[in-house]
Amino acid sequence: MKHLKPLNKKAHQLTQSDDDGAREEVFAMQTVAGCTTSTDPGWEVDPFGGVASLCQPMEADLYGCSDPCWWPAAVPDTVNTYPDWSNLEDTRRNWRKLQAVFPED
Amino acid sequence: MKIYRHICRDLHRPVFVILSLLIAGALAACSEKPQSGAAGTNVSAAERQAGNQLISDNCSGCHQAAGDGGFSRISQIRKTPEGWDMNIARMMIFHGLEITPEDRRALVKYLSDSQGLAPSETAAHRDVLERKHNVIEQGVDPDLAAMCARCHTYARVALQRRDREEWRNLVHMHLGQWASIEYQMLSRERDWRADALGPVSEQLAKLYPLKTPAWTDWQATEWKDMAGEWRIVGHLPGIGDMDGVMTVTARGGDQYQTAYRLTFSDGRTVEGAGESIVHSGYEWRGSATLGDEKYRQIWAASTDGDRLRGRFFTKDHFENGMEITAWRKAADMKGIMSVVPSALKAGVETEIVISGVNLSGDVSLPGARVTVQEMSADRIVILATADGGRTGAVQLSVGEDVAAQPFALYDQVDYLQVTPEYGISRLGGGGGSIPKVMAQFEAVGYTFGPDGKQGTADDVRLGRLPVEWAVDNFNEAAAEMQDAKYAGHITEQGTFIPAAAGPNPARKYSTNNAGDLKVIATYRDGDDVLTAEAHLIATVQRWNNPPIM
Repeated sequence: MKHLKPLNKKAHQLTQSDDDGAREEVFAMQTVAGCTTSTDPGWEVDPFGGVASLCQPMEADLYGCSDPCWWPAAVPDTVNTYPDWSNLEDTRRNWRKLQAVFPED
Repeated sequence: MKIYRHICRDLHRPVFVILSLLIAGALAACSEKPQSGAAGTNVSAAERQAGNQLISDNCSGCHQAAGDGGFSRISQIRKTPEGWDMNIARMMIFHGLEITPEDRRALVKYLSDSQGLAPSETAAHRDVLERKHNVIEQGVDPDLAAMCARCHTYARVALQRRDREEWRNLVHMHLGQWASIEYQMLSRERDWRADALGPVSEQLAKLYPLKTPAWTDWQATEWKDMAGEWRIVGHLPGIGDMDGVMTVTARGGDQYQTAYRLTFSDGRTVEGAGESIVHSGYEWRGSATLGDEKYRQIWAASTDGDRLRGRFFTKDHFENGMEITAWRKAADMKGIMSVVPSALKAGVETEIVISGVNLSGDVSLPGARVTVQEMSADRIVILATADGGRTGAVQLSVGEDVAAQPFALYDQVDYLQVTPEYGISRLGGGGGSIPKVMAQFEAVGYTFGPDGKQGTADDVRLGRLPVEWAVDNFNEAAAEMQDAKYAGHITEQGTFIPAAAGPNPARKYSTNNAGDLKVIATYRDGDDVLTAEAHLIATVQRWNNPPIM
């Protein structure tokens, strides 16, 4: 790290964590990191029957749960059920705007 | 994902579609039913003509009319009322179908009657159809589960019938609508398309073919008029038991007006009214208002039309509801429907309510002294006392009628069980559009039975017991995240109310209020204290909530 300088906020936080001796607090997720598609971990329950291994908070990357990571039975997608996803912009703030998609009688 | 896959696939929020409480004018105008049970005559020629006209008016822009009077991609399929309604909803969402609510309901009615499922074809999957909470699908073929039930319930598939080509078309539909389906995890490690179009479609065509003797026979069976007086009993978790009377008045076109007078074991009596419709000759769907609360019903009639069973739940919270049984009050109907409570502790005088139809004769409860307090053909109230000389399961009877469930005599509760063993709630509200989904628990008492061991076949069920409720972190990971602090709380009635949805800045990682909890019931009887636990997750909401998850 001697020859690298952090350029953005997240990089600064990483450097600061190292300086604070908090390196050991950085740990891997319990299951496969990143997009894992429609099964493991699940949308509602992880492979162990709990919620600890779910993507948390999902609101931080809700669009990622739609088209890219794809939970078609739980989360609307831009192709079929929710073409106006882009209106949500930052889902961490605007998840409240996302509406149920099944048209009730 | 879905909670039901191997573990338990999904609970879902109350998106009850009011399936056709009114029939469109086109069908209502020709609602007269033939009385004969001859093959195919449950749907009259006039109804078929009106139904086909509805399809032509609403669907023929894409679905081609065939020379035999059918329509492409419609006539080769049979479904439940909810299945057909989901079809129409998908056409609205995916393809921009514009349809009036009246036509939508009328199409559901016509298609369910002419291309529905027989009672025996829905029997294995009624839990999902009735939107029961905490359903764990069992016995699903692993290959079919891997293909279909990773995203939605297997019941959604098994409640359809198609010819071979239509099952293949369903695969093509999935490929067309969800173009990345082949490249998803647990798809890409195999030749997904070849599997889906080949052996899976073949297996589905064999398991769930379009033409079946069951449907042919059911079409040839006379579908009964449901009008009349009905006795109804049920159990409302967290509250207790219910018994009452339902009056059903025919309005034509398989539609009915309904009136209710229901008494709950907490002493409340509520009255109300509603409307119902019967699809496919037995699929009762209703709405009702009892007091200030709006309810929905998903029931099934027996093939002889004299019994109903299903779920009766609140409109806005499908998870809050009771399982009911109703019997027609006919001259040839007779028997005990419920006994509440169905256990008697030695030395404790207890009031017991026996509900049924055309009850008459002496009340017999071996091992107990019985005094009859009230007696009618519908309902008998007794005071019973057992001296403890006999314990275990006995048979309660009224005249020649014997209660179907055993009655328990006991001197102490040996252990508790919390039901459900694995409960699911969902975060909701918090300014978002999706409401919370509660989880309801009950504690049931048991005795060990003659062998003195817990969990064996001779254990005697004593019924619901009053307990104190608490929640705690399920494991170390939950404790680290302080799930019990943030995920919600449980009421004195055993109702877990999850916290608000959305990221919570007070939590580690600003995560939302999801949590992994254990529910703890504590029963006290003098100095004796019994406890039992269940697993509960407070998980995230979902935005896709069709009637069949």
